[in-house]
Amino acid sequence: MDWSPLIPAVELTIGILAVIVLDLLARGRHPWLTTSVALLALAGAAVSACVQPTSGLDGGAETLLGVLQLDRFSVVFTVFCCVTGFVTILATVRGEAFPTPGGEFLVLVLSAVLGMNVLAMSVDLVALYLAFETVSIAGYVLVAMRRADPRGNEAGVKYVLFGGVSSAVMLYGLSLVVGFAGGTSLEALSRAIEAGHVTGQPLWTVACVMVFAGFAFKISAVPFHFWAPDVYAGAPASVAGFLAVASKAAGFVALIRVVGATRMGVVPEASDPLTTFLPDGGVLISLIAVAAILTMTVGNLAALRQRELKRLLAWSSIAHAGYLLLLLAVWSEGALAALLFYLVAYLFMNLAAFLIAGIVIRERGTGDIEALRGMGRRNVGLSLALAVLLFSLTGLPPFFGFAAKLQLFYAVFERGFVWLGVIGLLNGVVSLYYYARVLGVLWFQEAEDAPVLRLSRADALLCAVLVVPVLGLGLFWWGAWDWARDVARDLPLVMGVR
Amino acid sequence: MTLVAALSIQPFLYLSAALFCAGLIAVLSRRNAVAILIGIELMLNAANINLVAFDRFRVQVGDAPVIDGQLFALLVLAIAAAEAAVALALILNVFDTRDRIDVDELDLLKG
Repeated sequence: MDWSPLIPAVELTIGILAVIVLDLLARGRHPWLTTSVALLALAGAAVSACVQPTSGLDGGAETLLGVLQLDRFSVVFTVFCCVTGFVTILATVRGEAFPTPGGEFLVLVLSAVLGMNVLAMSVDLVALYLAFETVSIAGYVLVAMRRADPRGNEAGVKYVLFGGVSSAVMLYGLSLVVGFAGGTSLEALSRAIEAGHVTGQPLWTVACVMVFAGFAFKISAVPFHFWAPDVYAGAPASVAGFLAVASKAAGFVALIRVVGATRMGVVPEASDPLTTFLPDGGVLISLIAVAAILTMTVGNLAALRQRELKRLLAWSSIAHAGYLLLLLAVWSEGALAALLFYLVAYLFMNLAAFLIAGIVIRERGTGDIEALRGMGRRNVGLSLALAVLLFSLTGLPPFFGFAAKLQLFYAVFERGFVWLGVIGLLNGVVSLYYYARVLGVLWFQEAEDAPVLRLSRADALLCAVLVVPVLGLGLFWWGAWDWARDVARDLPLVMGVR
Repeated sequence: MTLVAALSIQPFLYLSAALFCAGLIAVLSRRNAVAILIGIELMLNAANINLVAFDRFRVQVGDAPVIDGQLFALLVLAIAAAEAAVALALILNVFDTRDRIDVDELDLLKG
């Protein structure tokens, strides 16, 4: 048997153990040592995930024990999560939270990334649920890492209680799904659906709703979103960025696999442009389409009245989850490509935005948008970077966010879902207002007493590394788009065709 | 014929549904964080009953016993324990500073 798909996971596990042992031996005296071991483990996992031979369309997908499937899709998500973990550790070192992150912080980030790596490969409900919970449980502790901070503690308790309830609901749904499928693998599920075991069963609808509730919590989709603003506001900015990017991407990759299994045998075809309001593809797809509309709208409208930077970014990340759900509802090769492309843009934009939020909180001691007053004159570089990010999050040209939104809406309109697309576009207009409000405070409100933010070289370098792709790929996005389209050709693999 | 063999699957599903509802009601109505945690445990174990019951009543293919669901249930127990440990630690952390663990009083973060 070929165990090579597990190499990144093994590397991360070794990293976790090494950090624990080194932290004990050094007794917290050399934080750079454990930090560099953790960074090394993440980099190693990302590199070995890239060089692994993956199963392609021609050879058919091979699975490890029928539980894990290594395809290009899982590789992309593994690299994605490793990069996010890497940036999160660096941003935490630079951010407001702890001057020297302890070994336990590194261990938790590595465990969460390990969970995401397994989640990206799982084609079995047992592995999927286990990996899902590994990500969640590490996240609960990460949020409350600052033990003396009452806001952090409160965020941790809220997160763990909401998370526990939604995962219990999801598990109950999964247990019903296992009953319908007659097995725990996604393959068994798609066979059961094809054989018509679920058609007309009210209990199947119940199961779908429950399973989707668990995913909706993870990706912070309405109506399971209300933990996100509180948790992001209470957590250190770097951890909030990690949850907003990696945790959400992990939720999407699992959702894609499950939706893929339920859509097996449903041939995607163009539908009548004017009559289609909701996509037709079973209970799960209708749920996703409704959730997409609600998530975009609620996220953008609630963001309008936020005064705190991290809360604003939290609502904006909820809205972005709505855009991404649109693509799942549409479900075509183009939509999957747009989803990957959008997630890459989302990674750079959000990690950088949360990094800058962390720097502002570190220097000003508050995360209010008012704290940005006068920054435009004093810290020109940082303010320009923030302006680029906010324009890109809105989806204005010539930034990466524009290219991503362009492909997203093209995929939606191409399949004929005019109404879904129009609602999405209207939401984009709403979002312009609250992003522009931040820019207004940043550039046009003067504050006499505001001191210049002290930026170290490392801060500036990390910002530049994240912001330059937003600019660069905004102008030259053809290469990245071709890559996304190429990966999306493996859609049948994701849907479990063997 | 053993007792279990004489039963159909329905009683097990009704039991698990009842247990799940009891857990959900506890989660929605209790304001004490530990009581909510107990409700979550009830919901998880309701799912476990489903998993084990589906295994027991599945049409067997060949001689091999089907144990996917039972394995799943065992792993769920482990996860439930981990989740409870983390949740209790976080609740204890809040309790240290406030001497109460009423979820309605967690109102520092709003908006």
